Amino acid sequence: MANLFEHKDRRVVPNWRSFGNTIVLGELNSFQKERIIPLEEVSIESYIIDWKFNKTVIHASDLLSAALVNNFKTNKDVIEAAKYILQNSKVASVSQISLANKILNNSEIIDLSAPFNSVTLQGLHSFTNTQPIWQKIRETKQNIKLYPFNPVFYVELSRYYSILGLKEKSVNAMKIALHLGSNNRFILRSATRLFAHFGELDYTHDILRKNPLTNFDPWLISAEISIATIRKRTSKFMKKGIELINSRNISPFNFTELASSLGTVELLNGSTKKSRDLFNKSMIAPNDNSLAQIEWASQKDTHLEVNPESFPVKLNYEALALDNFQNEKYDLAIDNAAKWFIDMPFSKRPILFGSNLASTILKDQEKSIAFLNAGLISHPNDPQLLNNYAYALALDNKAKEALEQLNKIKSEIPIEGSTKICLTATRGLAFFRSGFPELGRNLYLEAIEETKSIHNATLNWIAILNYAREEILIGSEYIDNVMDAVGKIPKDAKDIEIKILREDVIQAFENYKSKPKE
Amino acid sequence: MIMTDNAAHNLLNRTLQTGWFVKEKIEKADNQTGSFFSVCYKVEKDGETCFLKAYDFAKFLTISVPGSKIVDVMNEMLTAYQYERDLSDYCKNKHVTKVSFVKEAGEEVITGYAISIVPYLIFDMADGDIRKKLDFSAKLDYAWRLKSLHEIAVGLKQLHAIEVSHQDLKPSNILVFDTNSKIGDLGRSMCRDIDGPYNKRAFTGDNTYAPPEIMYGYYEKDWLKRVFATDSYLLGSLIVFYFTGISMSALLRKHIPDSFSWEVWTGTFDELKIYLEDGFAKALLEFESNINQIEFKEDLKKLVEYLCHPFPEKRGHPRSIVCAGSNYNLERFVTLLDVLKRKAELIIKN
Repeated sequence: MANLFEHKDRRVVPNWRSFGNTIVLGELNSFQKERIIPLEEVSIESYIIDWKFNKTVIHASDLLSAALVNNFKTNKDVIEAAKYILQNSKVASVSQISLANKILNNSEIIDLSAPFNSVTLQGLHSFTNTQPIWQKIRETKQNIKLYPFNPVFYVELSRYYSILGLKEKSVNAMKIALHLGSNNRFILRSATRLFAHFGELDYTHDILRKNPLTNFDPWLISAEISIATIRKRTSKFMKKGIELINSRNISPFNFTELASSLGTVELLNGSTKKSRDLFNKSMIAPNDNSLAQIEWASQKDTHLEVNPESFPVKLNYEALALDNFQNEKYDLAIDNAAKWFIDMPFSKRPILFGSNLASTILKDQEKSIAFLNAGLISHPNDPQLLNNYAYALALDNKAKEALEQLNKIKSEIPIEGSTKICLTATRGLAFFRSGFPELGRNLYLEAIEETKSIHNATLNWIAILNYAREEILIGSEYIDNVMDAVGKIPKDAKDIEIKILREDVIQAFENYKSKPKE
Repeated sequence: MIMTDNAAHNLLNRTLQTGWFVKEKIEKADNQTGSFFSVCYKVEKDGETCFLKAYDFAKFLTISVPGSKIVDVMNEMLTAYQYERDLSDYCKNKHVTKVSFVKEAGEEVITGYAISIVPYLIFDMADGDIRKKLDFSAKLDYAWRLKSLHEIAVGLKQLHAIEVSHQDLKPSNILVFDTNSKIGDLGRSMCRDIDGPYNKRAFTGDNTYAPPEIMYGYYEKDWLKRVFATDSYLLGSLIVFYFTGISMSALLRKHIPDSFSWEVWTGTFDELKIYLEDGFAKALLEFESNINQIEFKEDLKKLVEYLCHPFPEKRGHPRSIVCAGSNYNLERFVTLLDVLKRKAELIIKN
């Protein structure tokens, strides 16, 4: 059976994108409302006079320099000088031409969503081609050769390695970045995500807690609170965080993640009123992370329900996917899951979400396999993904390939309890579909017993339903017994996966009953 | 609007008390960027033609800060005049050679105007500022550029040796005399031994050429460190201008996203460092792309990298940084520019 997409576990761990995209999203902006020392008022009149008097390319470019530095880019004389340079580009330098172009095409608005508009699930196949990532790695290494002390290049390198699932290289590159510039939001947040991704929570928590920036930067306090929450610790920055939000010295976009982190803590503590207040504050000017968080939180507190499409948030694919899922718009959910994955190709969550949705709800094993193939690039030995892959293959009656995938799981990799159960059940499924029902039955029963020992009712019901389906499909002698067990599953179980599985089993049972017996 | 109804604008065809005949009014002198408060003339004496800068008191009064007292404005202007004159003398007497000095200082009373006194300074007549000479068409005369830069570096080093920081080194202040280049306009300079009008300011030059730390409002407290770090940046910026036609600050700003620019950033300089470093790396790559002669690419890029590093503590020649003494000692840069100049001359000869 497939690993469940864990709807119950989401924390506001920073999302990690390229340096360029993170800048465009505004997550690296200064959070203080005013400069400590105000900018002096200056005039570029003397440069304009010089340009008008001389009318040469060099005087034009001197004026353009003054305009760019002193923020007079829209001045009409400046525009005229820029045009003059372009008209005389034969006698202009590379930089003069490029500066003139910059002045004339002043807009720095970049549409981050443009590359995602054409993303389709079919396109996910292209993500199994690792060549473009290797090319990026080569380019980044070239940059590092030129600028060995620039930590941004190491963060980028770490991200590329993480996309390829090269943990050691990724961690090493990030450690170099931290060594070169740990007093920086981009580096600290990227490191937080990476180390959380690889389960090194103690390490990243230590770095965050001890960094002086965490004392006043809302984006870092938020990350620290989230990591502390995952570690089931109480963050020492909680009070500071609340003070910052209430200080009115910080713009709402700069505290959106912080309010969201604090809201999550309050929600988990059962303080609904405080939680709602904080989540509402996080929605004054949300980013994709706080939007996805409230979407997640709304499953626990329906008062928090929002329509993610009503917020002008860039790269909000996770929130959209979760919202589509809740509203039973599964096709849309799966499309947004694909975009979510392409936005963060090192992340396992969109893969688990998409593959689980495709396998169990849409019953489209091809789609599920497309997700899993893409996800296995960054998580080549991940037992959860390999399990889901085998599950999809087995349901598609490719039992031999399913068993091959299961055999890829390395024994030295520690496997979480619920994943172990899923693996046992999936192996059972593969044996059923290989024509060895006895082996399959034993494994399913073993899995069902284990779900009881860890007191996981949801997993227990899913295991029973999967097992029941297989017994019905082979028309075994145990169908009545197994249907008794199915009958004990509460009919009001909210989980959509259970609901659909149950419907499938009942339908299969009806078909079985109506089939003439030989 | 040019205001001509005042004494400073009416010196033409007069013989001044110092014996100079005012031959021609220069409507716009090359090195006049920022010289709003002066009127320029060509003057002649004993067959020698020179440049006269007359201080325009009336202009000063019209654009002075509203609410400030006239006496204060007059005092400010007089101090500026005296300072430029005295600093020029001070430098001249300390064997500084690559700076355009005040040849003569005087004042003329022109009756019939509300403010009748016109203080003036006379300088050697330059062919123009460096912008007249720079041409970015295919034929780039590297030898000439490097010779000029070498001379400017020597001039700056000479000023630093007597603890004078120019602070306003920019293309319009580089004067060309036949084949030689000299630093002009000491008016914004700071001198440790002379109490000047700008000594207490963090930066006295032109924002267009100002180093990033000044633009972001980060000031090194140590006076010598701060002002010499600024001059180092300005020298590097001049190298950038000689080969790209734009200032280093403009080149850097081009490669900094708007959200990190000095007009938008409200955080601390420390928080910005990594982003500036990234922008600087990209700016250097662009600078390199302007160098057509491959044999100079690496050396010129290194010079700019050392002189214009966005963080003052990393600015200067790496060997000077690790050795005792000032990080901003220009000796090594003078030598490097000399070597490059000779290399370029050899290429032309061969």
